[in-house]
Amino acid sequence: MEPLTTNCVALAVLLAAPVALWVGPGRLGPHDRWLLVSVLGSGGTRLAAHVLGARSTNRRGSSSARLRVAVRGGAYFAASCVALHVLTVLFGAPIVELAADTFLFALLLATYTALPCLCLRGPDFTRWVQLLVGSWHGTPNERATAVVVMGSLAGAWLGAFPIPLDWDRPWQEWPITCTVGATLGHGFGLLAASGRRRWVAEHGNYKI
Amino acid sequence: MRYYLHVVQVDDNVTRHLSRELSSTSWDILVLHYLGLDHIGHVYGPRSPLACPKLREMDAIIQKIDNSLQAEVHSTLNLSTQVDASVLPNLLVVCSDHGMSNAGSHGGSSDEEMLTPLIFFSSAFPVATADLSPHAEQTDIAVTLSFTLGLPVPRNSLGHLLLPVMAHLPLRDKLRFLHINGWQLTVLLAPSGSHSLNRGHALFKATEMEHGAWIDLVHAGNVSSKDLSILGSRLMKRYQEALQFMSQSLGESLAQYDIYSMVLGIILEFQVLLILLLHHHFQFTVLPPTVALSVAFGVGLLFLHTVFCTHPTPPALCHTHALIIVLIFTTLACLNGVLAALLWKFLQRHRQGLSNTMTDKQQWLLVGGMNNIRTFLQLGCVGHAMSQAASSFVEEEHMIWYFLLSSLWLMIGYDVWQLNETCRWRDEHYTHKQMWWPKMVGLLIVMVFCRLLRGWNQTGVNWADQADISDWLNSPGNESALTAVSAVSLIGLFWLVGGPTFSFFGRFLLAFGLVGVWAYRCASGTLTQPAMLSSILSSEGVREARLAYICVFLLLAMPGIHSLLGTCLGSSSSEDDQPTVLAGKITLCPKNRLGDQASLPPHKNTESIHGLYARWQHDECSQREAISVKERINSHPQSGFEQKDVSEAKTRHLAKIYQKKEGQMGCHGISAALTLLLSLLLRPHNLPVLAMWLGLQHVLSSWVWPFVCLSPFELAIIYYWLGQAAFFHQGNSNGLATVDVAAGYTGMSSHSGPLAVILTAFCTYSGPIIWAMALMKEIRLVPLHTRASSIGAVSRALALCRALPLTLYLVFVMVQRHHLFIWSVFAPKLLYETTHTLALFAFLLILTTCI
Repeated sequence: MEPLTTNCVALAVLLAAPVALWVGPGRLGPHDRWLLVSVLGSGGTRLAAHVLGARSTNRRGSSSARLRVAVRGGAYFAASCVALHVLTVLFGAPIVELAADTFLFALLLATYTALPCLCLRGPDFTRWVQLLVGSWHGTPNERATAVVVMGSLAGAWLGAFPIPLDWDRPWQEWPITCTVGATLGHGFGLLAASGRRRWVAEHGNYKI
Repeated sequence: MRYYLHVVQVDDNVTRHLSRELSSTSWDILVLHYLGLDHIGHVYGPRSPLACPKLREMDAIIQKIDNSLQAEVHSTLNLSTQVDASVLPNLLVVCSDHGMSNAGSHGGSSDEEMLTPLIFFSSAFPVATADLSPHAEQTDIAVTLSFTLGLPVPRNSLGHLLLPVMAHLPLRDKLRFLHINGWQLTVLLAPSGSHSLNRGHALFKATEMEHGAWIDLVHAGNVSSKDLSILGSRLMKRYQEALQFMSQSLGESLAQYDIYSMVLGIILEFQVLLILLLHHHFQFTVLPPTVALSVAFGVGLLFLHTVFCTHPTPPALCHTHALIIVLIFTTLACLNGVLAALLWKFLQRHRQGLSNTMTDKQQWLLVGGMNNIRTFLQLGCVGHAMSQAASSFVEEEHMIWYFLLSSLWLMIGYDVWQLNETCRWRDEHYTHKQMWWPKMVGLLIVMVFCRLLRGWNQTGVNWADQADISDWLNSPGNESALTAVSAVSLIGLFWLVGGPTFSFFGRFLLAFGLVGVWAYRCASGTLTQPAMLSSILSSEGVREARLAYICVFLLLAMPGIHSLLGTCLGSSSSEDDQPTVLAGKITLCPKNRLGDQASLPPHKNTESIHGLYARWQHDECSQREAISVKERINSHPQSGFEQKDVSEAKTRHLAKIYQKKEGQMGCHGISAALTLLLSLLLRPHNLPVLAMWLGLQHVLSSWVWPFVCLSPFELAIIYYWLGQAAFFHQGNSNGLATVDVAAGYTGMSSHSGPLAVILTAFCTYSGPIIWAMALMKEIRLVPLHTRASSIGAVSRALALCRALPLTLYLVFVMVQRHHLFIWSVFAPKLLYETTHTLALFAFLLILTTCI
């Protein structure tokens, strides 16, 4: 599938996810429900697009090699979840209490950041870093992915600011503002990336 | 669960004990504080379906209490058949500290938020009447309750007696109460200066005389009771009037703001900020025309001020001593003169700059290049200063610093990574030598340290009650853990401060002093005392603490002692030329910097490399930067830098020698003395914090800074941030309650005012002091010939860091002077800001004169 279409579908999924606030199994809180739906929807879209794209072009090697890549990709994703969890704790999230919430936040963030990278470049950590750091430009699709990743991270970062305010609102609880911030940032990133892709496709200027 | 806890259980916890308490006679006053309705309002709003049942619940509780009190009255009546004077009547007061807006919050000044019912129930009241004056001030409650309980009126109370509550009392008692109340208000009114001018006061004095005459009449007994009561009620009216006037004028004098002085202060601060900014940007020096301009401005200001002073209500500034006024105006005139001179120069340069715009632009591009860290630091400073407009961000200021610092480490990591990747991209041979992760280890350790420090003392308001590590250490039963932890941190302190570069004598003193600290804490009973020591230690630890003080003084005096020893033993100080040699060797001289850029391959990322060189060149690189630049040169052979100058190892070696020499000079001794002093003053649970700060400094200077390219300006801002965070690490907050006054009595057998203040200040500001020392140490690594300019850069950075939040905060405080939290949140923070500015001023003085 074309990355632009993937982005659009992912955006649609993100917009639809708040439905989970009202519908879904009652055992989980509305925020957890929404978060899980976002993770599953966004991650599912990426993975489905990736699998479909791989099948249509059929450029990968043997099935065993593909399996190996998939297993390594899964391991990378799990590792990035853990790394983001640790980073969140280092940023001040409580260590013991609310650990499950913190992990869910890390899962969401990994879905928004590590998964697009994985789907695009496969388990190649050095390339991700080079892409994010800007030392390597890559294809327009990869630049677009970098925009999405940076948007999600910036959103999560900005999301932390309302927490200390004394408004006594239930949504000021950790990690609600951050997950919402990350999702908004991801959404804006997807929009910006799609717009940029279109612009590049029309003008053919690969330097931008 | 949360809903249940907040809305139901808080009140149930109160009600649960009510029946038992009502039936017992073990209390005189029972205060019931029901929180549920407030929570419902905050969380769900006043129209929540929870509000109605909650109000009914409260009604039922009032009924229950009233019934129980009435039953008690009846039973005593039945027992003693006649009303006995010894049986006191009950009083049930229902009141609220605030109302609720339609959104469910409070703190504003709408009627819904400010008006609340106030109900008095008592068996003493004759008939159920509702003739309470329509408005009673909140301050009246304390006075009225004092009289009903037979207690003296609180000294600083502004309220006046609510007479309807006293309706059942005889006229003479009422007049007596009013007189007491009035007298208390006149005492309160006395220092405000306008005592004799006050209309209420005059009225009170007159009524007091008439009151005396009335009592004489009562005693004489030849006036009919009807006439007495008419006269008495007239007296009562006049008393009430006088009270009204007096409490009104008292309230006004409290809420009077000297706008003129405030605005003057703010203008002053903005001028200072502008001067600092101009000075930072163009690095001008002050010029001769300044003096003339100062005089001119002084005359202008005096004229303006005279206009204000002759205003009907002169500002408080004019009440102060003449000398202070002269001082203020000299300062003002000088400030304005400097500002005018700078602006003049700025305009001049601007006019000149128009002719050669190209080079200016080029320069700007080079200097301003891509510098994430500097941008982030500047944005962080501005963001922090802006955040202080919100009361909750003042309360939780530590959160901002911690968050900014964590983000800073991430930014630095990003920068290191970018540099590394750029190098790798440019040079294929570099791939194996230049791995990214060893450079990240230092940063990771720093982040872990910061997280630990953050969890050590919970501070602020919202999360202050959460359990933290220091609470655990201080809880009963954990004395042995506290002892072990503080012992380990003292050893760590010795290892970190008395490193191999420290002289033997110094190390001995340090060890001795630290043992003194340990013994002091053991003797004062905070740490578990080893059995064998109990006979040696003094009872309060005064002797041990004084031992540590002596070590502090000896460490401070160490350079002098060393030179003395040197002359005695005849060892010549022949290494005098060492720093100069070092300075000469360390400076990597780029060959025609600008010329070579054209020869670089056109790639987008060359920008960052260029930016780097330019930064290095512009900001008078420190030795560390030279090393890090050198690393990059290795990766980048065609950049036109001389590589053969010094090998990295040699640079480091030279730096070591230099450091050793410095160690024998004063800086090391001062830092060791300060560390020792602070370890004595800080509570034992904060000793690990002190050790962690020093560990953090060590990790930063040996494992992080070598891989990052930072100018002294940026380094100073980072250390300022670290100092700010450290202030909160040790458990301080922006409230005055967290100041540890006990530190002022360390090793004192009796109270001594100024010394106690100094020691408390040292203890309170230990974090910023430690990081200021670290900054000083970093600057001393700068080669001699650029040291003056880097000290200039550091001073500018620190002054800007302080001036920016102070200036903006003054504006915020003035704008929000009617805010509900002005006295509880904003004013203490202003005190802290002032002390901090003074402390920084002292540090800058030391920095610019001593190094």
